[in-house]
Amino acid sequence: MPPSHGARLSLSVSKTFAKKTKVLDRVTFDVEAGETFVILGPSGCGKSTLLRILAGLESADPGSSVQMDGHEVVDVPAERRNVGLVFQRYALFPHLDVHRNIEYGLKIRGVPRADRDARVEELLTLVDLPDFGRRRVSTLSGGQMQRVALARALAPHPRVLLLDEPMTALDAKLKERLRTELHELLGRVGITTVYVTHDQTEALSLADHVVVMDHGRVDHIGTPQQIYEAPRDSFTASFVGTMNVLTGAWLAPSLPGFEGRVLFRPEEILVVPSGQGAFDAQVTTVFFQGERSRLVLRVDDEEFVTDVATSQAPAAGAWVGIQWNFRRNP
Amino acid sequence: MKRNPTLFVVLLALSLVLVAFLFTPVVLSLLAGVTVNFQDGLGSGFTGQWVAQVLELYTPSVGLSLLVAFSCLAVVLVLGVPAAYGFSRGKAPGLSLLEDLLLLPMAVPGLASALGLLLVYGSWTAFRGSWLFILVGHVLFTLPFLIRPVQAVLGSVDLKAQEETASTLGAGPLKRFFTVVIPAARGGIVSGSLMVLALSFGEFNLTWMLHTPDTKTLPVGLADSYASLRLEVASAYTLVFFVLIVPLLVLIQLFGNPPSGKKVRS
Repeated sequence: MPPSHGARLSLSVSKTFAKKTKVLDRVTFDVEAGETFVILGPSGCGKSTLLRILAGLESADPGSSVQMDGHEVVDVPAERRNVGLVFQRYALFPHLDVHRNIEYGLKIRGVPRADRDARVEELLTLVDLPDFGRRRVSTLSGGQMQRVALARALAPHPRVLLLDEPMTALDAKLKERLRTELHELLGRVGITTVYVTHDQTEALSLADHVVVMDHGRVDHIGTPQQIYEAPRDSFTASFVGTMNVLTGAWLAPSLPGFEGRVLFRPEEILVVPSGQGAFDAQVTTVFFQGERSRLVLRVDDEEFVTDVATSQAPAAGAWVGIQWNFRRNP
Repeated sequence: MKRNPTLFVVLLALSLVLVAFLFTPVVLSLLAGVTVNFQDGLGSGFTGQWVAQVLELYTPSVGLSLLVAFSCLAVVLVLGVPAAYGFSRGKAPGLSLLEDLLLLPMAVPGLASALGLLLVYGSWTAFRGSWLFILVGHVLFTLPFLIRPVQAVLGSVDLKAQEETASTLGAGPLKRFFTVVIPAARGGIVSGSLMVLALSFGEFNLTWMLHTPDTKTLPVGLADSYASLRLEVASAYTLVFFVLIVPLLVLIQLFGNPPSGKKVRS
């Protein structure tokens, strides 16, 4: 862990919109100074509203609390809260060039010219865009815009960095590369970061801690590992990763303690030759994914999936045996 | 697409006839202003005397028209840009009704608006006799022509995100307005402003009702000269008016494309 420049966050927030719609229901969690904290959830779960409340762009219900290093800021307006924000579409100022975009927050605060220039240069180097200062923002690629938006948000030394789905506007290949870059960059800066996304891959690979939200409530909080291992019947388990469900009564003999259904991850079963597993299933579809292939299997009109090495993949239509491979209690 | 030569020639001829029909009066009128005696035709020779006479008689009108037009623009900018911002962001009930009310002077005949002003303020002699009375009429009339294009630009979703980002970067409402909103609305402001200048400069309807002998604007003077002086002087007047208004119209063509969110977005 690098030395931390960020604040410790502690919040407990409710939000009711007009017409009594409760979008956030006592959402409570702490974010350690300097860590990357991901808010994960499907669209409409309230995660963006929560981020806006953190930024000071939206008010919370009375009784809510947002604390930075122990100071209550829930009533402090955005312009005095000292948080950095990057929107999904970056919202760069189109009438300013890259240098002036990054400089904006410093200029507003009355930082002298020489100091501003030095800080902008420092940030351009940090986000690996040297010599881009005089470029118009309309000439930048999506990835470059993202980095300029990051640099702009970081320039005034905010205590918390807020990122609202920053990868959504990018194509898949770029997304993967930028995720790695962002991870490194956040590590180097060492700032407290709250990152909102609906993408579990992003969440699990970037986060020190993840909160999974569902319908305005916290479903689970933990490290990515803990989230992945959340109780099988929870919202988190079905939202993060793939969770198979089988309900056939014929499963009972092979599963001690079977109570009408079994939930399992694709890696919690093994594909073995027909007749050698707990039961047999028919392969309906094989999705080639490079080194691994995903099998869609069917038994008694129920489908489930697993992954196998492509070199060992059976053909569609073949019958295979399925062996349980639980590492924890099903 | 294959071009039909016969059809092309017919259409071209038709277009030329139409253009001639529209432009002949304009050209003749302009020519009359520099002809010694228009009744005797162009053969009577060209002269600058009519233009000189117009300038001598009506220079105060030119000055007043310019004063009114630029004052009108200043007032409309100060009132209109914040109003457009308010309309594009506000959620207060009755806001759209207010918007419609502001657009009303566009549809109501200028004479009617002027009559209203006269009825209410006509007895306030000092005000009624000053050029400010005309200014008020012009502001009422031209305000929607600025609000409309500016509001169109300010409605973009991107701008809202830019403002919110600016606020997290430390900018309060006023700073946001001047450093983010105004630059974003620049296209709309420029095209709207040129429109306001041209409309105010050429406004006759309302002004004719509101003016006094001491507050004659250029178009009112034009009507005056047509009514009471010889044709050549009135034509020379048109010429002067043209020289002043055409550059403005050219500017409107250059900068006054209907503003779109695209222009100011990345």
